Amino acid sequence: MNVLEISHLIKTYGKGDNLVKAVDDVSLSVPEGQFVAIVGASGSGKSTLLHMIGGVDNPTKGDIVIDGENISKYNSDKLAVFRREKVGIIYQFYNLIPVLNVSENITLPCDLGNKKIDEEYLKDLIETLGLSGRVKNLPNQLSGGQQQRVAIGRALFNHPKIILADEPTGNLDKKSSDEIVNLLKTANQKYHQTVILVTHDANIAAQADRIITFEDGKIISDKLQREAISPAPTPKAQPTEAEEIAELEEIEREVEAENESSNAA
Amino acid sequence: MKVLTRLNLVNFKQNRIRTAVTIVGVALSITLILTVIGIATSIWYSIVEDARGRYGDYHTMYEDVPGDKIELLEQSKYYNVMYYSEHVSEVIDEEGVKHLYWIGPYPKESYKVIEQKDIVRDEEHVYNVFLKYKDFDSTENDERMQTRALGDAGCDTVTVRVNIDLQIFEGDLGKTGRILFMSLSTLAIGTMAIIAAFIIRNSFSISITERVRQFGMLSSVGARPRQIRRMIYQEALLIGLAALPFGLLLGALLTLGVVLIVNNLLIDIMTIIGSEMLFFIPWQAIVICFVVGLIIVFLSAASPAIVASRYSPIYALRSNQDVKIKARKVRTSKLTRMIWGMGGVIARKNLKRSRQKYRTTVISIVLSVVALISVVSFMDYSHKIIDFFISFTGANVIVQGGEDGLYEDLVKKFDLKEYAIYSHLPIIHDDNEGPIDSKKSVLTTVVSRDEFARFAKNAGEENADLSHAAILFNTITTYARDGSPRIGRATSLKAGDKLNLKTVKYVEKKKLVKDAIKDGDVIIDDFYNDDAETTEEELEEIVENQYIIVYVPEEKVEEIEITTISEDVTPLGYHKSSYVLPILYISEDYYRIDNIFLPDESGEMYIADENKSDKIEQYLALESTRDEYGDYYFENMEKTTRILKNIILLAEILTYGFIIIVSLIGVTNIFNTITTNVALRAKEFAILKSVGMTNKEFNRMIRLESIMYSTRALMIGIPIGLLVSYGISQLFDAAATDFGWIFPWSAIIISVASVAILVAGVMRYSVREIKKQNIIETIRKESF
Repeated sequence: MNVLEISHLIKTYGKGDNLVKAVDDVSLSVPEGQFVAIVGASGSGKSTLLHMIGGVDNPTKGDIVIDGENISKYNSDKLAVFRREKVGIIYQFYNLIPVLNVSENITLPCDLGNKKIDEEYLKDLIETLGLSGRVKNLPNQLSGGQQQRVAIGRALFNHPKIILADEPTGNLDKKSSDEIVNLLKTANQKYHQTVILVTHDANIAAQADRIITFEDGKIISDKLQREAISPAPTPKAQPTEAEEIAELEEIEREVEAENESSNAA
Repeated sequence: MKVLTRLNLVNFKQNRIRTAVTIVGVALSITLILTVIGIATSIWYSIVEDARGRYGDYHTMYEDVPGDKIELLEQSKYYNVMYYSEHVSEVIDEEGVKHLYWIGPYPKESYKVIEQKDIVRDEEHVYNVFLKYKDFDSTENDERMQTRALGDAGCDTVTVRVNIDLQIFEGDLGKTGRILFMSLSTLAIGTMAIIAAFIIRNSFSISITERVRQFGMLSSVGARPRQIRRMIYQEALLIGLAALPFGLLLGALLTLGVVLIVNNLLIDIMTIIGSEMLFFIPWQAIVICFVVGLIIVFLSAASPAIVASRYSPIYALRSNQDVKIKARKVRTSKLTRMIWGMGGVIARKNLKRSRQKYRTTVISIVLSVVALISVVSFMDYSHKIIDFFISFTGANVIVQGGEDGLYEDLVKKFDLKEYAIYSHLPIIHDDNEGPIDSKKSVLTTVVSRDEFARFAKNAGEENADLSHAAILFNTITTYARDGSPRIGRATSLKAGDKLNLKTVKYVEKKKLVKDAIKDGDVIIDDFYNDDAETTEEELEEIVENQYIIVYVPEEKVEEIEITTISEDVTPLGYHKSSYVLPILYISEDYYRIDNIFLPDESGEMYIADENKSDKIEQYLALESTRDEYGDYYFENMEKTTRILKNIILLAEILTYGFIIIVSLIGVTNIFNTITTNVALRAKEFAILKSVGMTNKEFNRMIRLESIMYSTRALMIGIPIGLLVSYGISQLFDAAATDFGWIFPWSAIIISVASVAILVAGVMRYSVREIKKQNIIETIRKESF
C-alpha cells in the first residue's frame, strides 16, 4: 500500500521571464515502510518537493495524497493538524524551540494536539536517541548532533505516517552524521517507519532502499536498490563546531593584533 | 559617503517603522519638556507684561528729584532711568477703575496722559524718576548709596512707588526665587529627560540586538569597538536631529493651545493674575530643549553602544541569544500547563526568557498607570473640595456687615427671592455667671422671618408659634454619630431645655447727636463689650451725625426654650461642619417682640438667587454703594466657584495632557519592543507551525502572552497607584475634610482597558506580517 502518492506536482516561483520551475511535473509514489533518499545538486528542487510533502510549502499545481488525504487543497489550519499528526519533519538546522527542554521539544506535537503523552514510549524513545541524561536540558546546552537527535525524537513521537528529513546531516560531522542516519534506519526498521531523506551525500543515500535523483525540478532516475549498496568515496569531513569556533577566534585574535599594531603606529 | 554611515542609513530604511516610532518617542519627550517650559515662561511673561501695562515699566520711583540731579541717576551702574515725569496721579472713576494721569513723556499708550509734552529738564523743577535695577543682587546696598548720594547733592528723595509685581517677577525671583525656580525646573526637566532616555534606550537596545550579526561581521573584518560605538551614536544623532524640529514645533503648538484655552474658556482664572495669558517662549527655552533632546538620545544610546562594542566577533556572528537561556530561568509550573495548555507554557517561557527586554515596557506601563490613578484620585478630591465648598453655604453671594438698610436695599433692587439675613448673638450658656461648659453652650443666631419659617418647616417644626420657637441645630452630635474623631464633644442639650440669654433692651438705631445721649446710656460699638458704660473718651471719638445704636441699660435675663433639635437640615448659608458649637436659631420676630437685640453690623446675608451674583457683585463693588452703606464684606461665591472649577479644569487639562504624552512615549517603546520581539521570534513561530500549531492555537498563544504581559504590568502599577491614591486621601483628610478614601475605580478600569487594548493591538499588528509569511521560507531565512 502506498502511503504517499504524488501526481503532476508543480511548484513555480516568480513570473514571466523570471519564472523558475522548482518542481516540474513530478509524479511519485512511496509504499509504506520504505526508506527513500532524494539526491541532487543544490537548487534541483529536492527540498522544495520535501517541504510540499510536509505541508509547510504550497504546491502551485498537482496533488499530494498522504494516507488517503489529498493535502494540496487543505487550508492552513487543516494543514497544521495534518503536520501534527501525519508527518514528522527534520531540518538541517534542527529548529528546536529554545525555551523548551529536550522532552518538551519531543512531545511538542503531541501537546499541541492536547493528546495524552505516552510516557513509556517517550522513555523508550529518549533511550533509543541516547538522550537519557539530557531530558531536562535546553537545546543550547546540547551539541549539534544531540540537537538533531531531539529533532528526530520530535518527528517520531506522534507516530507519523512519514518522516521527512531535509539534509539532516548537512551541519554535522562524520560521527554525528552516522549516528543520525543509523537512528533513521533504526526508526525505519524498528518502528517500520516510512522515511524520505533529502541529501547530497552519496554515502548516506547509498544506505536507503531507494534513491531518487533530482535535476532541474525533475526526477532523472529512480532506483530501487535495497541490496545494491555500493560504497562511495568518503567525502571530506566537515569541520566540527569546535573547530569552527577555534578558527573564528583565531581570526579575531589576528584582527585585534593588527588593530593594536596599527594603534601603536 | 563613509561605509558605516551608509550602513546606518540602510538600516534606517530597512526598519522604517521602528525608526519612525523611535523618532516620535524622542520628539514627544522634547515636546513634553518644551511645553512645560513654555507654559511656565508664558505665565511669567503674562504677569510681567500685566504689571508693566498696568503700572508701568519700572521697579521703583524716586519722587521730587531736581532736574539737574537726574543725570546722577542716569550715570549709575545700578540703575537704568526709564523715564521721568513732572506729575503723576492715580484717579479712580465711577466704575472703580484706576487710571493714572500723567504729565510728561511716557512710553505706554495704556495710560491716560493728561498732558503730553517734552519736559525740558531744568534745575528749577523737580521730577518723578522711574528706575529699573540692572542687577538685583546689589539692590539693597545700592539703594541706600544712591539715596545718600542724592541727599549729599542736596535733594531729599524718597521712594514713593514700587512696582511690586515687576520687582517680584523680575527682581526677587531673580535673587532667591530664580535659584529655586531654576533648580526646580532643572530637576523636573532632568527627571523627564532621564525617564525619556530610559524609555527610548529600549529602542536602541532593540536596534542593536537586531544587528548583532552585523556588528560581529564588521568587527571580524577589523572594525574597532570605537567605530562601532560611533556608528550607534551617529544613529542616535540622526534620530535626534530628525525628532527635534517636530518636538519643538509640537511643544510650541501645545503651549499656544494652553494659552488659547485659558484665554477663551477659562478667562476667569486670568482675573487672578492679570488680564490675559500671553504666549511666550524665550529662545533660551528652545536652546535648552535642543540640548536636552540631544542629551536624551545620547543617554539612550550610551549603554547599548557600549554593549554592542563589547561583543566578540564570534559571539556576535553566532548571534545565538539563546546561549544565555538557563533552564532554571524559564521554568514554568505544571499549573500553567494545566490551565493554559502548551500555548500558555510557551508564552510564559518566552516572557521569562525576554524578561529584560520587557522590563522597560513593563515599567513604562507601570509609570503611566500609577500617574493616571494618582491624578484621577487627586482630581476626585479636588472636585469634592469644590462641591463641599459650594454646599458649605448653599449661597451664591455672601454679604457681611454693612449699615442698616443694605440688605433690604439688595432685596428690592435685585428682586431677591431666596435669601437669608442673620444676626449673631454672643455665645450663651445655661449659667451666664459661671465658667462656660461647652456641653451646655450654644451660638445664637437671629434669622430673618421668611428664612426661619422655611428652615422650621424643613426641620419639622410646622405648628409651633414661630415667633417663639428656638431651633437648635446640633451639628456636633451628627458628627459624633458619624464617628469622626476630630469633631468636638457632643452637646448635652435637648428639646425642652431652657437657656438663659442675657439681653439688653433695644432702642432704635438713630443718628447720634452728642447732646442726645443721656447719662447711663450704653453705646454699643463692640459686640462683646456691651455692659460697659460709655466713657468720656468714647464720646469724644463719636463723630456727630453718625448712625449709632443706643441701648437702654436695662439688663434682664431671657429664658429661651429649645423647641426642636435639628441634626440634618441647615438654614441657608450654613454647613453642618462649620461650627464647633451647636447653633440656636430664633426668628427676628422673637427679638423684636421680646427686645432681644443685636446690632446689625454683625449681620450676614446669604443670597441664593441664581444668575444675579455678577450684578450684585458689581453693585457692591461700586464706591457709591460703599459710601452709602459703610464697611461691608462681600463674596461672589458663584464666581469664586467658577474660578475654582476653572482652575481645576486647567489642572486637569495640563495633568491629563502630561499623562497622555508620557503614555504615548511609553506606547512608542511598547510598540518597538513587542514588534521587534515578535519579529525576532518569527522563526520560532514558523517551527511551531511546522510541527502542527494551527492558526487558532497560534492566536491563542499570542493572546495569552499579551494577557500575561499586561497583567504583570497592571499587578505592579495598580497597587502602587492605590497606595499613592490612599496617601492623597490622607493628605486631604489632614486638611480637615472628611471624604475618606474614594476608591479610584474609574482610573483602574481605564488603565486595565487601555493597557489591554494597547498590548493586544500591538501584538496583533506584530503577528500580522508573520501570519502571511511562508513557513519554510521563514525557517530557512537565518539559522539559529
